[in-house]
Amino acid sequence: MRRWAAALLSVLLLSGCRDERIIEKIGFIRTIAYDTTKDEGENSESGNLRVTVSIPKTNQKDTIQYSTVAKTGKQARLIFDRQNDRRLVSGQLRQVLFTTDIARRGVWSEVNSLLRDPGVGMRIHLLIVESDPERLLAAKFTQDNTAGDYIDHLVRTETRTTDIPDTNMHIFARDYYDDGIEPVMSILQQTPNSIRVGGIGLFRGDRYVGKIEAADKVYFGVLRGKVQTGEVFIDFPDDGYSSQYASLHYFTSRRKIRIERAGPMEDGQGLRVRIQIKLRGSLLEYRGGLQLEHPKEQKKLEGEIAGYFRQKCEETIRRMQELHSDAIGIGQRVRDTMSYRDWRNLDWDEAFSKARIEVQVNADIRSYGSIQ
Amino acid sequence: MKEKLNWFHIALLVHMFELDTTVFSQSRVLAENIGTNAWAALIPLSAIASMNLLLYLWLYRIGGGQSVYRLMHAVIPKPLLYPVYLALAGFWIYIGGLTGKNFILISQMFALYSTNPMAIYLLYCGMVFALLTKGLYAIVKATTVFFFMFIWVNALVPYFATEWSVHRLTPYLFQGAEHGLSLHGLAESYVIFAGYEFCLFLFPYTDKKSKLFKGVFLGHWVITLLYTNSVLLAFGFFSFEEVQELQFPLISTLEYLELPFLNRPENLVFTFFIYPNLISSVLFGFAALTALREVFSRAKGKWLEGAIVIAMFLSGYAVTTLIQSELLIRNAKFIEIGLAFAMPAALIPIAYIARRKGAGKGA
Repeated sequence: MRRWAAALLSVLLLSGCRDERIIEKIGFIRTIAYDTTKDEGENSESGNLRVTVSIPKTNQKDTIQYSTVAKTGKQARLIFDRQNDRRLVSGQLRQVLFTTDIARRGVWSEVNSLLRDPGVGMRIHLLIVESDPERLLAAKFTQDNTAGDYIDHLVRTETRTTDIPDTNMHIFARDYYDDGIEPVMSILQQTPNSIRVGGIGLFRGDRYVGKIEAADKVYFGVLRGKVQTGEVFIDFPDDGYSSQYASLHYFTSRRKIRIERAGPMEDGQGLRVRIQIKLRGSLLEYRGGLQLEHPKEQKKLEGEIAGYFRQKCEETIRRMQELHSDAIGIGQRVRDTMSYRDWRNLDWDEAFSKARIEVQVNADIRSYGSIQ
Repeated sequence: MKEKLNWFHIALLVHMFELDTTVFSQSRVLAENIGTNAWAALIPLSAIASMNLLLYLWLYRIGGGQSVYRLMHAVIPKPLLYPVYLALAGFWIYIGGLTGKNFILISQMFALYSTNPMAIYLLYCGMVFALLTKGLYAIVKATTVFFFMFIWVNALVPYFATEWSVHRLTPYLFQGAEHGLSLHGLAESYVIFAGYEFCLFLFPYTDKKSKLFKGVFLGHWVITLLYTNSVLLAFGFFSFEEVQELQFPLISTLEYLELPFLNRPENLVFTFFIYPNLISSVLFGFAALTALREVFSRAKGKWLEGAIVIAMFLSGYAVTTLIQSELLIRNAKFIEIGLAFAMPAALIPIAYIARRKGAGKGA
């Protein structure tokens, strides 16, 4: 009896070997890029996409790249499967790139099919590229073996150590569904020998509507949430400041949002928002007229940094208001102060664009480096 | 002296029995049927289950801890009860089978995509058979081991803290349910607690020292807290509208896990959910076994257990798609909840009559 049972069990267990995935016979897609078809551009009526995938070879130094025109990413994958000698899988997909044209058309149908696919992880990065994705993925960079690895490491390092929001698929989808915040994507640009973060893409629903420039991403970062180890170079304007330049490193930031409501909000008059930001960091570079060994002058510098930060943050907010894109989640806080019915009836995009939003910054310099 | 169960093991048993595949979709089911901050509804829903459990406690006291079958036989002629036993056993086998097949179908979303699900399910049924034939004490021992192999999954909750926000919970209580608050919606949310009624079959395995109901209540409230924790996590980790859209919010949460040396460990973590699921199938099988033993009291060896597992396996053929499986499980759980309330309601009067009869004989 036991022998029979053992034999039956082995047959059953061995049946699992039928559904095998041999690593050498699989093509792991590292990057998918969506672009408009060259002749149709942003206002395409056919809805066709130009889809490019990049698959690292087993030597991890070279890549195989395929590109085709298709209705959706999944249809494109079937076409690539007909060309590739290995079965394509998306379990190791790390980033999905959208060109600005595609992003302006709306990205949700593609994000939706990525979310639906259990093989695709929630941590893949969704990014906008301002360059031709086919050229970007085919390019050789000295920083990493493949463009896909380079982008992955770049985005991870930037989000972990500096101020850009982590725009992985979970966070994008979460903010897309949430009616109190708009999603964002980091923007990448190709330079002759590198890829760089070119700013933050602002969305209204799933449509890309405009960007925060790379130089201002730090202000967006502190407005959106906590920054753990930020770095900022401040180029003080000539008027009203005694300092010329200052670099604040390893700064942390905290924000508090206070909502004051004093009437109907649709016209923006009834809503007043105060954002309080606390900064604390080390000054590692300074040029200007202040004598930093004197506590009084240190206070003055802190005041100048705070004033400059406030001005830049308010400019960043005005930019978001112009684009009707509440990417820092003020809506979530306003929602906290309203009844369910009032919130549902409120056109938040409109109210946000007209709201009076003030920023207060408190800067605290933790240390002044090794010289006085 | 015959070994008796201990309250601690009973608590683990109830905990593991209540936990099954419904936990994966639980947050969505609550968001769809109850709305915003639906996690708060779990406490009153669990309190209803506790009131239901008080009926079982009442029954236990009146019946003096006797097996419910003995109580019924004292009042109703056995042959009249056989069809009821057979129907109940059939239902429990069916629901145990559905629970197992549902788990296999969900797991095939991530692995072994092209293997015949019935082949994997056959292995699952093999494990059910192995546990069922060893009797309740062995099941309890296995449950204890499985519990400790599984419970650590809850320790992953702080991992998601950085992406959790209280503002995503919204300040609204029970708003935005897809069809408004309804009795049907509440019942659909309540099904996650199905399983506590199993304490009925533990009566003969306990004595006063066992503190049966201490264990049952403890197991039930621990799972309530863990459920609340898991739903609260989902509501602050995803946005409310997103929770309503995600098929299995718990699995989507696990997909966010990442270790420095390992990408996508969710498949590994998911595998551990087989333990509570297996225990649920085994205990449904055990409930069916107790009923069938009354009908086929002369059956020898492991024939009944074998028949139950074969029937459980065959019931797996009833479902081939995940949607169908989720729907059938939900409907079966509705019946199970009906039974959970109906059984003590029917048995308490029977127990009173049996006690009076017993007293009459004694006089």
